[in-house]
Amino acid sequence: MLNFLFTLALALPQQPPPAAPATQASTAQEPIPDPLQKELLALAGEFNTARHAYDQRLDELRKAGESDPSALPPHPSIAFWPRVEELAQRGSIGARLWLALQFTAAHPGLEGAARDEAWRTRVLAAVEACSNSTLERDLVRAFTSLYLDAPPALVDEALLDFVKRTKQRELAAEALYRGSLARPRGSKGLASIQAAEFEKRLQQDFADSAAARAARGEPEVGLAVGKLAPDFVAKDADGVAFKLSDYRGKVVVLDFWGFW
Amino acid sequence: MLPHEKALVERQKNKPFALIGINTDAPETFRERAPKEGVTWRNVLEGRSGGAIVRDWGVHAFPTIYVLDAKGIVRFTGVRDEAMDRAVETLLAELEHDSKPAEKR
Repeated sequence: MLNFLFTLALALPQQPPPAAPATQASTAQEPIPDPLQKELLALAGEFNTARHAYDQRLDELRKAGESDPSALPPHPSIAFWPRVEELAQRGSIGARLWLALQFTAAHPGLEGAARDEAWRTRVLAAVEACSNSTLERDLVRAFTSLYLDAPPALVDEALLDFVKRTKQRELAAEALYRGSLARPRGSKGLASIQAAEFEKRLQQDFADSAAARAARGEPEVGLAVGKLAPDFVAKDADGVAFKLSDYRGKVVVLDFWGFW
Repeated sequence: MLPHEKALVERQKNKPFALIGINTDAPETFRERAPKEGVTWRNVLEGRSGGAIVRDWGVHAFPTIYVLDAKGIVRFTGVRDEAMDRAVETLLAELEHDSKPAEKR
């Protein structure tokens, strides 16, 4: 699943971000693209082929009733690790995210506090690299995956670091929302130690965000049937200002028309 | 079209209902014709090339109609004339039904 996510991140087309609303224009900045995108994509393609072959082999062994762990082939992340690390050192943002997500698969022998500390370093490096880059959306999605297996304190720290770093309020809000909902693997409880604080902060500092609205159980804003109509402020023909939301409590027909 | 909307506004005038026009005539055309033709309801004049609302709502054809319920949720689109009347009646009935338990309390 982590690999799928990684591929998704790299396969993102390099398109300009959607135009920011006028009110945000002064703070919004162009996200930083991965400087080694081409090399990274090539490596990711190679990795995915290897991963696919690995998954098939595991499946065959399982069907054959093989249960001895030493008979299993090594995870492809182990072989790819030095190459991805080299890319990361040369400045690839996506490579940093990969190192954070593939850390345990690539270091099967590492356990306990040593593992947690090394993993923490990788995750924080990914946050630093991905914040305000074209991969920050993928980083935000990755938090949910990280909460599955990583020590929650580590992910909490990384998530809060991201919220501090990013200039995209919607993404900061989404990260908090994901943190407040994330579950560890095989458990129905919440993963994050700070889930309640994340939820509180989401509603306090990002109340207007799509994530906060979703957390409040409010419908998504949109023009399709079933969505909350986007609000507007306008002056009517008499020069009186009003908001569409002033009409809550009334059935409204909005009629775009003309005499012509 | 227009007579239909006038009738709707008149019929529902004592109900929690509002018709809001986003008008795309030249403002002088609207000001000249609206009083003559009995347009009594609120209108936003966005001009012939449209304004922020026409743009944000992605309206390319006229008339375009959205019917919103009392919570502001889009419930019907593209309904005209009788279909628009029925949509409004449906939502008003729903609103009346929803508000009953509250009155009992």
